[in-house]
Amino acid sequence: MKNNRDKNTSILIAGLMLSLVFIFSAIWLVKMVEFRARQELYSYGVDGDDVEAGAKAIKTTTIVCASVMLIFVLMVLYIVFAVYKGMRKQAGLLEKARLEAEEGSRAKSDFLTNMSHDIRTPMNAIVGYTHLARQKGVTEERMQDYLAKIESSSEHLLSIVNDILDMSQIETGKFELVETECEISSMLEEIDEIMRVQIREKKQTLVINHEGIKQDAVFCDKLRFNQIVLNLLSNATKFTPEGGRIELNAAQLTEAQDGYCVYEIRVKDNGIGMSPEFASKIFNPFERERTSTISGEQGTGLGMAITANIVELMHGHIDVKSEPDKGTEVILSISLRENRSFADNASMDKEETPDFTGKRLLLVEDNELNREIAIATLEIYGFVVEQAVNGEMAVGMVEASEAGYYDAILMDIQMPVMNGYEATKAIRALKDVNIASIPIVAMTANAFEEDKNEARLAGMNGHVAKPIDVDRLIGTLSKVL
Amino acid sequence: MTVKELYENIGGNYDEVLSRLMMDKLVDRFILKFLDEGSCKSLMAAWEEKDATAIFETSHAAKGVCANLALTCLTEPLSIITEGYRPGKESERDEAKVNAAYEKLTKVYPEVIAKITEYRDSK
Repeated sequence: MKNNRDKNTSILIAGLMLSLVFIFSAIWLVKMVEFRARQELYSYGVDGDDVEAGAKAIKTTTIVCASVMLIFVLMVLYIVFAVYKGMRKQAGLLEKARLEAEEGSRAKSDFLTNMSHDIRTPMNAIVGYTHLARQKGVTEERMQDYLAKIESSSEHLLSIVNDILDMSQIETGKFELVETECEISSMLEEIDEIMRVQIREKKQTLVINHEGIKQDAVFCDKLRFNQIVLNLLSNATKFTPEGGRIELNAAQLTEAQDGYCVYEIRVKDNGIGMSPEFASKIFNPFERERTSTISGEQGTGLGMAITANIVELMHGHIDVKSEPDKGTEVILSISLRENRSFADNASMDKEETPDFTGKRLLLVEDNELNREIAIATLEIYGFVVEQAVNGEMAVGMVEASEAGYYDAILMDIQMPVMNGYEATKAIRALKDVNIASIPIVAMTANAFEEDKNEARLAGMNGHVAKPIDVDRLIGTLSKVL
Repeated sequence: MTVKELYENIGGNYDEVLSRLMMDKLVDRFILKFLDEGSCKSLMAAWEEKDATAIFETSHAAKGVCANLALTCLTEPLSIITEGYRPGKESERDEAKVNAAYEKLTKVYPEVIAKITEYRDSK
């Protein structure tokens, strides 16, 4: 950057100097021509006044000629400098591309060197123990021991190959998430089950807590989610001594915004920890050798790099806090698309008449008569109904209420001051997650698919068509309450 | 005159409103409230002013009320006016159809009001 600036300054100074030389030469030329013209005119015996007039005419002509020459020369200089600058720029780009290519090639060669070494170790074990197992006179006990070693080396090799494949997909930008309908609590419970054996072997305690999650149903790549969490938990198990404690706390940081919720997962152990220098490099590939020497633990050294990349694909962030001999805490946040169930103008269950005695609804509707009719209908079913005449008033009432005061909101869409969609978005954005997650049912005059979609996108939980059909109103409320 | 007879008289759907309000008493209470409900009048004022935004808002509100009370005779023309003046769909508006709906409304609304008033006074 500084070099470029210096070069530009030098070019400017050179251009300025050249221009000055040309200007002074031009002035000198004009003066010389005028002087010589006077001498010549006098030598031919021309009169004084005529000499002055002649000299002036010659001077003017010379000034014009010199100016044209000067402009011409400056133009040529400008073109030359522009071409020169373009060439330098191109050369710079080529140099940058060459350096990048060299860097890429070095990274690839590092990757190959590291991986070749990592692959060779379990391969040697497999080949060696297979050779031993083939020998005559091997006892059954020894045979079982060799086979167990072959099996564990094969598993290790497979995990390396999987990691390499993941890493190479990440590096080539082909790593993609396959989202399906999932529940975070179920995924964490399954992970708890998977980890049990490992935890029991080391007599450790694993506590998984996911009570802070309100929006449990999400769209998520279950395989990759498991991969991240299992990687964190198995690292915690590996680097925590026998009898240690590992905690996983999952919480929801935000209510849905544009359909996405942010979740935080913290995995904390009281194990051997890491130095701050090493903790800062933990997400770089191949930063394993030193730890494996210290801890005697095996791994590809790619696990955390892959985890960090998956977290990034999930629009998240990962961080690590660690202190030697005290333990490690990995904190990751990921953004997942909510899978909000939507009660679509549902009919009432004919078998039993629902009783909503004591359930408190906030009815948001601008027309007084419509409000009264809705209240009359809802009160028949035992609801306690409070009213707001527009979206803004509703947001204020909900914000000022205690969590759980209202059981649900029945929201008209077309209203003055603030419409139902805007009011729903404002409620969903409230700081208190418990208040912000209140069920909201839209009342729309049209049952068009686009209205339902808009209600869903605004974060509503259901939709009933107006005019009120009691069967469908009560049916929809039964579903969301 | 019973409230059911009133509904038959003014071209409303009595069964629909009864399914919503469950009791004759409530139907009676709300149909009388319709006398003071101003959205149809506001629509007429907006129509005179030729204020397209206000026409949409008032016709939408009036349609909501009439549909809730199952006043089918008013809901139909109001629905045509609302859709004709829905923001963003002005280019699809069939002026002749909307004007005819408005004319029908101005003819039917005073009749409905007169019959409800007659019903109220006969009690």
